[in-house]
Amino acid sequence: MKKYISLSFINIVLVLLQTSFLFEFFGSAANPNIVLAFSFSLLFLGRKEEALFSAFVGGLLLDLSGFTIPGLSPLIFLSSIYLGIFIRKYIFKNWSLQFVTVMLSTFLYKQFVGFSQNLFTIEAVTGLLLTAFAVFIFYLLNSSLFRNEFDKGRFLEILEV
Amino acid sequence: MRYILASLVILFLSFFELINPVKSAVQWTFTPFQFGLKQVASSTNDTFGFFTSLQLISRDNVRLLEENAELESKILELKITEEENRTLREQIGVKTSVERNLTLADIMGNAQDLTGSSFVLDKGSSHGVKVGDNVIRGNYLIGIIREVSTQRSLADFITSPSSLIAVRDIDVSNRTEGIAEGQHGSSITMKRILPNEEIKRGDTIVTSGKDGIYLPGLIVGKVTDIVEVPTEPLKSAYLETMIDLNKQTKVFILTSPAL
Repeated sequence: MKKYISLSFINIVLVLLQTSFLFEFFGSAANPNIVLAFSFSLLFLGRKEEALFSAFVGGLLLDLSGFTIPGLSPLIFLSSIYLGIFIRKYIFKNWSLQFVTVMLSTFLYKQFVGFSQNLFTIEAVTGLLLTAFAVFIFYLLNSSLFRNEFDKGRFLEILEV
Repeated sequence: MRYILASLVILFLSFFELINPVKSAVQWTFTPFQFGLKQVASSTNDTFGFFTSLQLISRDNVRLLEENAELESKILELKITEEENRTLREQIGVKTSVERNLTLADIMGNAQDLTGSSFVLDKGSSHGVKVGDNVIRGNYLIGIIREVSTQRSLADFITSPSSLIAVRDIDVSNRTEGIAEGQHGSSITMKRILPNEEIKRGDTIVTSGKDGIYLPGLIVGKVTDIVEVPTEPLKSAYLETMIDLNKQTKVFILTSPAL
């Protein structure tokens, strides 16, 4: 239960940052999807259950705090995570392909939620690269800073403090 | 799979608006944080922007000083006209202004709109905001409310392609009329101008109010270019907004437009 509360809290912070602070800096097209990036970073660390929960809560909070149909973002995020799981399990674990999955998911999400005719602008590509970069940062944060604790399954308990 | 199912249930419930109380609660909690963070990011951005564009600011300053001198003389002329106008109105018993309720609102971009043609305001139906209310800053038209929740509202900029505004040219004697349509960014196209009607670069275009959606007399933009195709019966013109719509931090919502 504690880990779910911690994950919810992290997602609240990420949603607030993504929809206000980062949006102001990068604009709508180049804004990285850090909520999805966080979920993917958990998946890459082998925490499937946490990744799915994070995708669900993060997506739902994005919908509830904005003007998209509630339920749409979690559905797309969860599909992306399942796609990631499928690729890891049945294709191969090569990191480059996984980052392509992240960028593809971000691209599809942006098209579903905020349809744009300018698909391949510099801003749009920047947004995808920033999301992939965010996954990398979250991955490093989760795996190196809290490696021992994470291995022992205490990582999320520490964050709760 | 339980999360997928939960998402589908939420999606289903949202079609019957059963999620709205939860949405209102979340937005009520998030609003101060989101708008606060936006303010911090905006200030930081401005500080960086100031240092990187000092040269530009210096050039702008000279230009603005010249414009200011020109405007001051125009203000003087207008004051005389206003005085005359007031006397005439008193003489014939016409009301001087229409009653309008202005609601001050903080503005924030819509993170989920890739086109950048909409924005979020921190006032919703609980503050008396309704769909179709005009959003203004001074006499400048900023946009129109498209969607309202209890705590917030979503509005379209006048540069949004979904915005169609009945407009007229106030700088020509025959008051040329047309329809202004958003083109993204800061550009607007004024269409359906009759070939014999006069319009020139630099003219100020305002709302005519004939569409029954926008109040009359609100400034839409300035003419930057005129397009006349010999094979087409009607003319069109490109307009540019006179204020930077994306840089606005506070706007007013005309909550009870007397149309």
